[in-house]
Amino acid sequence: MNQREEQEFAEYFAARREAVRRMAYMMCGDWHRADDLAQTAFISLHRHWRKVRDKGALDAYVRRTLSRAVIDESRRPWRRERSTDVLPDRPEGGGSVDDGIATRQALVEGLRQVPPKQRAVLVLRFLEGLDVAGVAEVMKCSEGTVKSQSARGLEALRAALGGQLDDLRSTS
Amino acid sequence: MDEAELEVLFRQAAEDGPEPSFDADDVRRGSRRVTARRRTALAGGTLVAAALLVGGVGFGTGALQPGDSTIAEAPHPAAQPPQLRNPVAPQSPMAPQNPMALPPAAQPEQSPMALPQAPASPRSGMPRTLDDTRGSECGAPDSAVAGALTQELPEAAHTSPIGAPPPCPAGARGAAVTLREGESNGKIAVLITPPGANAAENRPHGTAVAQAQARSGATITVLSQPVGSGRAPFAERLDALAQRLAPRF
Repeated sequence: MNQREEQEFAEYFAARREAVRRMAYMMCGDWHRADDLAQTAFISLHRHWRKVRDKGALDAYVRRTLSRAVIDESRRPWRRERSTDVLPDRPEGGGSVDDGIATRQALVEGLRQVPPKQRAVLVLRFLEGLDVAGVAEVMKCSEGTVKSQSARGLEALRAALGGQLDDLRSTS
Repeated sequence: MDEAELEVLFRQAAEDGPEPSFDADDVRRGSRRVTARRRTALAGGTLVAAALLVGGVGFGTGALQPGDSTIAEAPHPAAQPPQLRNPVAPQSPMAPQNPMALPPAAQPEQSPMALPQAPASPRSGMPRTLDDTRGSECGAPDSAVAGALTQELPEAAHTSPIGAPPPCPAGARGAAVTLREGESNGKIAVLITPPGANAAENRPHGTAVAQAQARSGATITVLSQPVGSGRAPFAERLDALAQRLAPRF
């Protein structure tokens, strides 16, 4: 990359690093792993910067790279996640602040029990705010597949969370 | 809970994360390392292909006889050929895919007609020896080392192993994880090196190191390399970690 391209990358990185980290965190449930995944996604983008020019394409590229890295990683033997029947205890104490934190923690823990592909779809839809077509573009699949993965993901999340959150209505 | 409420919940759940452990410079360095690694792998694959091609043609036409002193020379390393300037990543997200298909397994980029690159050499230009630790990349994380590390260090259990930070002596295998301990942030790495090779040398200032001899006679080096000028995380636990890892290798 030349100096101008490096500058363009630096600007994009500064603008998107936190969003990509948050996306990675919601996909894997751990901030350390999230940083590794996010860094890997940015490295891939940096290496292919000349091929990806349009700003909209940059976001899709990073989301796609991240999603695939999370799905691939879930298959490695030292990274195999084990689902548990019992979720971690909720923190003691009342008050709306504690409840809010507990709710967020419950969501993150519940998401970890959702299969990786479905989890990626949920994060792309509800954190990144992509519509069905947008998710299909990132995941390189049909909109029907996105809808079914989304429905199954919500079902799995509902099962993982039990009554900890209000019922999650099935969304298309 | 409807979609809008779910979106709010997702956004709130991802708030208040720790400070990032990487910056743009880390990304640029990582990009250069990956590119260098793939060029080396391509050069190795191309040399083998070229040798097989020449050897096969030579024997097939009778040009090469047993005892012939003619040696097929690899083409002179040239400037980077056009097809390598923008290598397509094995897992390029831009490639068409079947619905929800797994990305292809990573393969070294092969081009039988491509000219090989000059082999990577240490920055000093001296011939590479077992003791030469300068500028040697460590490659992808070794699965056995990564597994042992994540088992013996509970904090690493939910992390993603990465390649050990360079320099890596010849014959070394290793893995690392990025961890945070309080305000300290850095890479915890384990390197298994043949006898005589020392993976503790030429480390950045502030790196904590512990070593032990493995059951096989290899040297186990456990190091904590801090990010920036901070303290090395888990420095006081490296000795015990090295001792627990020693019987495994």
